[in-house]
Amino acid sequence: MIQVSQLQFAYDDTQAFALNIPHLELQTGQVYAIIGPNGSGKSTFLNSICSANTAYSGEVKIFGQNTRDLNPQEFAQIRSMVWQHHEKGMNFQVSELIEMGAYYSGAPQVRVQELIDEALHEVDMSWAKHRSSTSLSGGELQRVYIAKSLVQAWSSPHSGHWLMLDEPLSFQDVKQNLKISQLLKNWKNNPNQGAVVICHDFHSASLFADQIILFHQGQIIDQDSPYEIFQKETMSQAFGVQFQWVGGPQQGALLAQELI
Amino acid sequence: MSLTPSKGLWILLIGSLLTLVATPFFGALSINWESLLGGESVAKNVFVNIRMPRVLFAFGAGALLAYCGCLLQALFRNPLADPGLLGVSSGCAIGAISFFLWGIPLLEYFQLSQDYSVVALPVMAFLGGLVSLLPAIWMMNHSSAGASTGTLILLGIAINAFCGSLMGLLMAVFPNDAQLRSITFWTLGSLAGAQWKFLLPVLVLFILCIVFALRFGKSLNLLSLGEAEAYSTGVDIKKMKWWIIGLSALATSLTVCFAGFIGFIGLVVPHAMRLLLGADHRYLLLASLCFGGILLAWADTIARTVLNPMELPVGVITALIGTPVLIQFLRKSMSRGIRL
Repeated sequence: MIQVSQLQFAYDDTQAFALNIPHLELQTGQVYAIIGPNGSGKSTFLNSICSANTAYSGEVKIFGQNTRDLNPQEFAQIRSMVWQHHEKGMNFQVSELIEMGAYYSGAPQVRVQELIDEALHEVDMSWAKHRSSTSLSGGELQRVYIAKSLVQAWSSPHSGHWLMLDEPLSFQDVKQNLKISQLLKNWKNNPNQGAVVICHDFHSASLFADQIILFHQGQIIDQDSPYEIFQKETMSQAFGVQFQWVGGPQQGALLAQELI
Repeated sequence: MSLTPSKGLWILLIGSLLTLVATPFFGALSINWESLLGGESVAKNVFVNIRMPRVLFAFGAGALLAYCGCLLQALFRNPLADPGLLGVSSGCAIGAISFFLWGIPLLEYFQLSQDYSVVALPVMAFLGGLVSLLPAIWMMNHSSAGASTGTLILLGIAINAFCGSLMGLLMAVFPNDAQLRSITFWTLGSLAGAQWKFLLPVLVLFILCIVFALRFGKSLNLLSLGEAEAYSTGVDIKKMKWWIIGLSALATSLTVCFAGFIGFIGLVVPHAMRLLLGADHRYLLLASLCFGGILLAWADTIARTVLNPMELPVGVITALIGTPVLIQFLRKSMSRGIRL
């Protein structure tokens, strides 16, 4: 479980809060999608609860532990992170790069090698195991980093784990998009695991997410299941766009109609 | 690639030993096993008191420079990073120049022996290096995640520019001809002054570097993927930055103060090793240590023998050998589709 209370963050003193979340609780066994317009605080939120930058005020607890009290190694064992930007690295092999996810897990080498193969399979990159990371395309590299975070989660000695992904579908083609959505869907089959995914693609979000959290101007203005939230007025309020829902109550697509 | 990193490391280790055994036999005075074992006092004296410390020091300095280059390239994720980047070496230069301008006259004034300059010059250079690091240390201490690498690079550029103009000012205003000559000689870089007593600090740092490589090689791999990535996978990035900056500052000032500026090794050797053995720092750091040592030991051997009895500045040789080697490596890596 993740508990957030009185979380506030401002980029400089004079401006309004870039992030202001009085209270939020996220349960394991669920996948949460965070949506919202550009600059609404989505990445800032993920940064505040996951990164080394502890300049926020308030408190974040993961599995009951205050994140400020965790050292980086303990922290890495209860959450892994796929960032928006992926460094190609300096001539690492793909398998070497994925192995790094297990560096601080203490898992035995044989087990780690098995996990690497499994993760490569999950993201459809088995063919690239011995390729240099510098020779991959943007979408392929993104999937390698997803595999790295899977290995980090699987190798961890801690039974519970949170997966945090910042726009993991941004460079993926339609097939890989569906595969990763499926992967996230399967992820929550383990009741000790949860995921938070920032996503701009409403359709994909509706495929993998149980709950959608809507950000607007640094605040959470709504939280609901995909089909409920997509038919609400808060969507237009956040994005400044008139939406139309096409389809039935449990399946359909959200079309952006016109600017308000 | 047929060469595995561990195999490559063994080859480099053997190469280092062969280098250390072979290079002292080259030089102005021809020395062979017979004259050495036959107890010929001149040959023995030259071999033990001049050549051996010089070769060992060349090896140590080259190794440390290459090692620092490797550390800084990982930290800054920048293939252009080298030991000069943080501004430490130009800080050392200011310290050394101050010694030539005011230290030597002071020694004369107090009628102290010039022998003290063997200790005082390195100490002054080291102090100069430390002072040039103060802004970086201050910034690292005053932010929650430490100063960003971009900030540190900009700071290094600023310190280099500042020290450069300070150096120009000092040399334009103060020195007489004799001082100018010794300053120029020092800035060209030379290993001619190497003595046994320099070797203790080099050895201590050398061992520290090996321990660090074995202990933190993994963390450096992650750090080379970016700070955010490293932190979220479990690296204590603030501690790592302190270690890297501290080690490189120490190693840079130690080599600069004893041997002056020796360019190119810190930049080229890590690249060559990365293209040959891959980017895993658990091997890469030790490989850079070995190859940097081998390269500078041989470069110095060439510098002191090729125009016998005249001696060339060693920096001339390192760039003359290093540039074609690097171009060859780059050409090969491009044809294999590897980009830096």
